[in-house]
Amino acid sequence: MVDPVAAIIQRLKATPAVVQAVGQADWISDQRPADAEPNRRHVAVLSAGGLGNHPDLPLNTRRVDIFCYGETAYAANLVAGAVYAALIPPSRRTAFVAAGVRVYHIAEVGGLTDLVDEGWPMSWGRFEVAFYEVPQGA
Amino acid sequence: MPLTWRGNELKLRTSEAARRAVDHTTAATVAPAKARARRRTGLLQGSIQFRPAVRTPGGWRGEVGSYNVHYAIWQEIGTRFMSGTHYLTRAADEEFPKLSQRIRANMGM
Repeated sequence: MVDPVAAIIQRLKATPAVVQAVGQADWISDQRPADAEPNRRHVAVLSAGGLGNHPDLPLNTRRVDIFCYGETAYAANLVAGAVYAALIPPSRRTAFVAAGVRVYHIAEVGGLTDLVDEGWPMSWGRFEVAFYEVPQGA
Repeated sequence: MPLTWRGNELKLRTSEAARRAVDHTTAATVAPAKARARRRTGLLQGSIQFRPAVRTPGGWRGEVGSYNVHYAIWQEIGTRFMSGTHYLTRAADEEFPKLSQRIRANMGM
């Protein structure tokens, strides 16, 4: 089964505004930061459930959690803002192809939540994603 | 043949069926969520509950979760040092797809 996480990570790494907000492309990953101290920014994209991949059954739509870390809550929010703008631009064109996957629908589910993860400020955004695999050579 | 307008009655019946189905679904989500929650003292497990459906502009909205245990969210989504159990979303994945069949059943179909 294709996974939208890699596609979203590639999309974020390919967006200069996100890389600039985070500091380094390597700090956008499918893992949470493992550092002892909250001294940098980080974006972690994690699969968050959902059974199917059918746009007409929103309760089953695949979900993705994006955790945006920052050295302060303000910095975490700045990173989250760049991530949101990259995934949901202010236009109707939200589809993109990355990592062999076409993401043709991505929408925020609920609002941005500001939390502190073990002493590290973090903004938690939830998205629902509909996608399909792009055949090789397509 | 005269036609009798029963649209309002039908709308009320549909709405009531939806409300009951939402309550049924959120109530049914509680048990699998409790079964998936990590248990040490039982506080989190015991706190999982559903709230009765409330009317919204789009229909009915139900809620299920933990409302008074501060670490409930970290058990759900995990932290830097601990993976989340996703006890609520996984229970929801199990029960929420049954919503439409419950509405149908409440409509007597």
